[in-house]
Amino acid sequence: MSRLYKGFVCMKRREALETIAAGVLSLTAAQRDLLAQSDWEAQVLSAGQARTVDVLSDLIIPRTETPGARDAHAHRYIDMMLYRGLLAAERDAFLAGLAALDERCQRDFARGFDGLPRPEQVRLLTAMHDSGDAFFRQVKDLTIRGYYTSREGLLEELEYEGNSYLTDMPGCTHEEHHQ
Amino acid sequence: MSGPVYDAIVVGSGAAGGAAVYQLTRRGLKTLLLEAGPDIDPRVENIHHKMPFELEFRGQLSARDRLRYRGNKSTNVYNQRTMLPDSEEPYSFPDDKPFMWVRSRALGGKTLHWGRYSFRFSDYDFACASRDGFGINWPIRYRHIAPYYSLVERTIGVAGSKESIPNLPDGEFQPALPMRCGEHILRKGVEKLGMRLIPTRVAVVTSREFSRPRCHFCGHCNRLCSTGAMFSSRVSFIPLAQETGKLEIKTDAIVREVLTDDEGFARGVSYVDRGSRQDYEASAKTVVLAASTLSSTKILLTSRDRNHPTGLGNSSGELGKNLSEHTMAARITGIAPVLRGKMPGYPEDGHPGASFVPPFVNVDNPEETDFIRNYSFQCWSGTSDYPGHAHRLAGFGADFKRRVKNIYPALVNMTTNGEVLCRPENFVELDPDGSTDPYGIPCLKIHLTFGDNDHRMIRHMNDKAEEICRAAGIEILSHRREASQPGWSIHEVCTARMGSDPRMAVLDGYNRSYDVPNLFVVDGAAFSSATALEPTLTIMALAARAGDHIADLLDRREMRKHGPRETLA
Ligand SMILES: Cc1cc2nc3c(=O)[nH]c(=O)nc-3n(C[C@H](O)[C@H](O)[C@H](O)COP(=O)(O)OP(=O)(O)OC[C@H]3O[C@@H](n4cnc5c(N)ncnc54)[C@H](O)[C@@H]3O)c2cc1C
Ligand code: SF4
Repeated sequence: MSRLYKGFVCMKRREALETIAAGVLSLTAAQRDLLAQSDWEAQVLSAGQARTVDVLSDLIIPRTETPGARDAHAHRYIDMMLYRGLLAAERDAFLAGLAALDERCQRDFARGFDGLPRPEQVRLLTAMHDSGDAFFRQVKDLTIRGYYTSREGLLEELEYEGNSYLTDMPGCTHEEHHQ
Repeated sequence: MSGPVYDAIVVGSGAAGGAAVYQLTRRGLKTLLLEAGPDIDPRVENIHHKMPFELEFRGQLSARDRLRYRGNKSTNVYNQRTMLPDSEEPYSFPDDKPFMWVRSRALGGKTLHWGRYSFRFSDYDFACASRDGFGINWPIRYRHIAPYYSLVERTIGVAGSKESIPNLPDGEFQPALPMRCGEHILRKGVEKLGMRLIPTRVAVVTSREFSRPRCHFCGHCNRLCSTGAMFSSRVSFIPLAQETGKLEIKTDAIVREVLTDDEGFARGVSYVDRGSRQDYEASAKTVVLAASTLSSTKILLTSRDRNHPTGLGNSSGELGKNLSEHTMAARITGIAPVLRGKMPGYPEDGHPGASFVPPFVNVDNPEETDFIRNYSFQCWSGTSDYPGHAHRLAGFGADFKRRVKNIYPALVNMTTNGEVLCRPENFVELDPDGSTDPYGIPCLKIHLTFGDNDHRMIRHMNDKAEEICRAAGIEILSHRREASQPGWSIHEVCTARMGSDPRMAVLDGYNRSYDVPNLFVVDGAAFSSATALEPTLTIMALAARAGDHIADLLDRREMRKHGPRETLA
């Protein structure tokens, strides 16, 4: 697909190659998201932990008019990072934080974080946010990274148009920014 | 030792080595280029244009690789195959002085993924000591180097605008790149304060008529450039030198030492083949070190012998001393409120350049402030492939997500390059522990801390950056005031400096060793001061000029005569 930016032709790389090969512009299959495969299995997180991480990421970046962290499989990203992306100390801190959250919910509510009603989850998360909780910081950072590097976060939410071929660099064309 | 005797051996194939072999072979000299790394053509597509979600770890280094490249933080998954893992050539520093030594190890060196900013120095820089009394002057003036700046610019392609700024001479430019919305908004603030914000001069092809293809504005320059539009020695100087038929290249050849003969002249180098681990020697009439500032310095220190107990060419005692670089502070991310929520309509991160505030303090009056020398600002703005600002925004939930998106097109960024003064306390030495790398070559120990003048300058940068943001109406989202870790500017220079007094300098004004007349050092080690400008264009111009001088000396059969003690200026 070729997109027109105010006269500046912009093509995705593969499209450019196919254009050259076929002599015409053609629509191409989308790039594959490595985490979107149907037979995904967690490497580090237990089923319960994966559910909790999924809920946490969904609270941090929920679905609105656009997809959220859950749609982008942020918990799969986090599992991948825990497996071989984070340093051992970072991974251990994350898993300890997750265990502490679970313990606290078991103690106070006799169920896991993922089983709590949404308002209760938001209340807990708000308290963690306000107190500068290190685990919250870590889940939030990982969710941000996982979401905004996903197809959903980068292309649908941010409407990122880069990684393209342009014929020219337009720069700012707004008179009002120049004076 | 058998084998051919070359006119010149050049050690290292980055900016310095590239420019040197280009000029040497153009002048008809039979040249051997020894490069420690492999040959990787940056144009052969690998993962250059993959989206993050197509890659494992979303395009970040794995934990294992983060550790392997711990001292080499410029490493990313895209350029990794050209980078040096720490274990290949370990180095050390005192516990309280961490130093980051970023190294590429491939044909083309760091130019394969460098930042491309290319500025000419001026006599404000070359005569620095006459202006404020600190350090030494360069032994050359602008008129000596200007023709070589032109030669290099014409050969590599530099996009820029003519601005008639006295301390930032104009060059021979290809069409300048336009500034983006946020940069224009910043510019208005900069101009209110009497300074200039200009398009950065970048070594990227923007002309439709050039020997290399024009940029296609993908913005992946810090990965590897698949078109060859971005200058690297690998796609420019080296193939041009090969066309002369005079260049021989050996990759995976790690030079240990410069070898000398009984009369004290350089006779060649010894090197180890990375694959077989076998040792070899190569002979030449001239040896040119271009292995990057600290690596060339290390080779000279390692080449110590009975006649040169503290390192080859070190009768001045200055070898390894005066280590300098740039301070990068005032790292600001701000928001231009008028751009909130307004998507630009084109990918702003496809821009291969940025914008630049040329050094502006202590120019006309060198003692205008409570510190000497000066600094510049690098600025850029707009949408990119990762919204790093999200990590700095408080909150979570739908409102958080909306704010990330709203601010995304309105981001404006700044950082600095400030001249670190050359002080003897900042130096490199062979590790006193006697540690060696896997090839048995001694390791380097690096000592660098910022001094009082540097800290006063850093304070000024931070205040000035905030003043600019206020004047431009930019809201500051985050401001990192502290200077980044020493080494991180990747502009290390001055450890075998040139000067007109051989008691104070290692090299003369032609990058030639005072002690060993057929030995040249043509990388940043030769600088007499760091200046506030990016070093590489000047490294290349000096290397090309040294190449010319070497050809002249060989023509005149004067290579084995000592040069005049006083040069130029
Ligand atoms: C991310 C980044 C951004 C940068 N941005 C800019 C910028 O905008 N403007 C600017 O002016 N500069 C910039 N620089 C710095 C610039 O890359 C260097 O100044 C320049 O490459 C130095 O050239 P050099 O030839 O001295 O060293 P290098 O380019 O590092 O080349 C040295 C070569 O020597 C080889 N070598 C080392 N030791 C040996 C040995 N013992 N035997 C044989 N070969 C050896 C290495 O493998 C390497 O290939 C940037 C650097 C980086 C990494
Ligand atoms: S933006 Fe231009 S110079 Fe940079 S990598 Fe892409 S084509 Fe090369």
